Amino acid sequence: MKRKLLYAIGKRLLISFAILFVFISFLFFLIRISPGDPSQKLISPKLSPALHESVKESFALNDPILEQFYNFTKNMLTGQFGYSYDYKMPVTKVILEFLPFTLILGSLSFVIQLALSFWLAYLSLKNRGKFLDRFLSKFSLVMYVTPIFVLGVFLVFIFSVKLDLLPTSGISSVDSYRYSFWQNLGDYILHLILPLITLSAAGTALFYRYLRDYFEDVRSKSFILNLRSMGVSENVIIWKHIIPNSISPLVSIAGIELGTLLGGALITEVLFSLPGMGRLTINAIFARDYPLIIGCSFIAGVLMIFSNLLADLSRSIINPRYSKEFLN
Amino acid sequence: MRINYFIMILTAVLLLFAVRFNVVVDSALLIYSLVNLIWKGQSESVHFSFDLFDHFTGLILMIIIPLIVLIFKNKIKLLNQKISLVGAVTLILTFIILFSPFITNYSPDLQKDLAVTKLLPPFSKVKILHLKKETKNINEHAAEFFERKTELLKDDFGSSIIFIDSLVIGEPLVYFQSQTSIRIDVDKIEMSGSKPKVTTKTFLMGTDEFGRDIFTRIIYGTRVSLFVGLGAVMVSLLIASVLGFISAYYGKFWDMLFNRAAETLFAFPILFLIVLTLALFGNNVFSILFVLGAASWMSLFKIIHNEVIEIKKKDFFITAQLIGLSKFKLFTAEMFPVLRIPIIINCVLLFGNIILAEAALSYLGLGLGNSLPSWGAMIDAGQNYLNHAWWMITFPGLMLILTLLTINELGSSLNKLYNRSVK
Repeated sequence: MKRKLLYAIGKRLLISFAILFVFISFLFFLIRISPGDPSQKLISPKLSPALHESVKESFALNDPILEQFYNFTKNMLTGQFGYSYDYKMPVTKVILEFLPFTLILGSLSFVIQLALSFWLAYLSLKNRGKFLDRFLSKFSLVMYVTPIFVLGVFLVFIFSVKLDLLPTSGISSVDSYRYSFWQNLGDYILHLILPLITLSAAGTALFYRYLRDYFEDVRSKSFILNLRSMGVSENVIIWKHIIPNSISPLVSIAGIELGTLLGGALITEVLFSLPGMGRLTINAIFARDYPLIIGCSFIAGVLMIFSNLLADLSRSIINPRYSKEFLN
Repeated sequence: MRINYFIMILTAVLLLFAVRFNVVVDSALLIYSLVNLIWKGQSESVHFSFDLFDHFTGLILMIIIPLIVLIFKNKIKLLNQKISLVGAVTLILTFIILFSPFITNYSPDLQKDLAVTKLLPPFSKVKILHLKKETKNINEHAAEFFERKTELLKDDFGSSIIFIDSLVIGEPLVYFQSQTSIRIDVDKIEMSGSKPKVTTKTFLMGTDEFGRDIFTRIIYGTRVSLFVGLGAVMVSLLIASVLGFISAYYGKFWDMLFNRAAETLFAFPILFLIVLTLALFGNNVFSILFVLGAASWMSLFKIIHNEVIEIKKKDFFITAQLIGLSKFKLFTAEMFPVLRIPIIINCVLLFGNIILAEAALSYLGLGLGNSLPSWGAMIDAGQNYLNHAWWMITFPGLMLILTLLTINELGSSLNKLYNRSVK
């Protein structure tokens, strides 16, 4: 069983990475055939064309595209992403500087989304049909459709501009170097409140709606009615029967949502000017920093593959019926 | 009283007709003089523009819609149904799209006299001085046409109006624009009686940093956003149905290839790809339409693919094949009626997603840019003036939320209507 599982995971990873490689190659060609070239940014037009050519030569942009692709493939397979044009550092180093922040922000937001939506759905299950339930289900719809940037700007307007409670952007205050460790931690937390709310709102609303539907679904099953007729207390019914039975479909949705979190993080990071992968990618795209674009896409793809794998694994652990499907 | 769709549509048209009576009359006169010109064989002096066309179609629709509604009142069931909130907002949005020039009668790009009009809060009133128009007589009918045209279609530069704060009547005339006083000859100004003609313009939702009317921009932005949404849905429907039918009909290879591609694209944060393509290849309306459409065909593809495979197994389809129906007939009579409903529902939801994506792109500076008013771009611009002008983000933001909410609700109510099993 264990060997079979490992084999399934290995096979799946192999296929996923093959697809990722095809995808990255597609990006490679897309970038190369696009108009404009990155050396324009580094070389003033007043300088001689010979210098311009030599810079292009040093980037190996003058080679025929298939030769470039051959080199690119070779480098990819040996794990080299080259040097960023913009940061003048190895791409891996640049990404390692920005990746932890996105991972922390993303996972914090994901935990908040799951916990908060679970709590709210539990509340609405408890107060079914009452004001709170009706309010939450309407409000969650509004939250779900509210675009991330509209919500973020509204929040900044209310909490930073009008009430002057929270900072508008960045990750730490200007004079943070003078703070002690705890003050610094407090400073970080203060800076992260608005981005976290912005990033988590839509996901929380989505999970809440799914959870509420699943709860309703299980609640209307006849075995619950049977339990109730036997005089089992409502708390036991909720915790022992309704919740365990409705959690498992959520896991696969959570896996998909983990992917969209990256896209959401992109806008949140731009909005609050946070030092994360999203903003790095956007800046790399606008600066035509070819190696960095490829590196960022690769990292995003890897994150996606592993989050999907994680979702499927945890789903097959929760629901054994699914593991058969996974193994095949 | 029970308000149904019939009453709502009629009231909306009549209300618009009553409130904008002068615009309607002007449009009608313009059409009359245009027809007159063409009749006289001087059509070469007419420059057809989109604005002109816009007014004409608006006017024609204003007559046709009540007629259709009146004639088919008993035939179309929907008209006699009680109106829901979602239906009402959908109707209003449709009206905004069809009758934009009648609703605002102001150019979305008009920026003039920044000292007066910059960053005005909602409901602020500004006085307008009218300059005298110079009429060049080409010949009688053409002159009449052009006069009416300039009267109706306000140009983007506002060459015949001056926004002012206050006015001192004298010889020469002095007007004030935020502390600076400017003199102007009386004979350049259009007079009403012995006094200069002064009208007021109310900026319902305030103005932005360039003194443009936010209300007007929102109205025209509705058109842009919904047009982009519709176009991109069409593109993705086209891609999805072609790929879906190919993979469902022909061979295992295509099936596997397209399914893997769809899954990969599903998993990848697609916004990156869209941003990349638009940043590298430039952004205009059509590239945005195409890229958004090409980036969102996956869910439609999955639905079409799965449905077609399901239908192929069904008895009625096999029987129809055995009877010997042609491929076209098979598609139209057997497949399309089954496919129609899930496709429509999915398209509505996709429509909402694409409007959201377009706004997000505009927000990142990759949308339609400054050439067309767009909600996302307005929010982006408003962010820089957060301290001074809350109205710059609030109104487009609310409009965006309202539209998305309506589209989502529309999708789920359609789902409820067709799939009775869904609660």
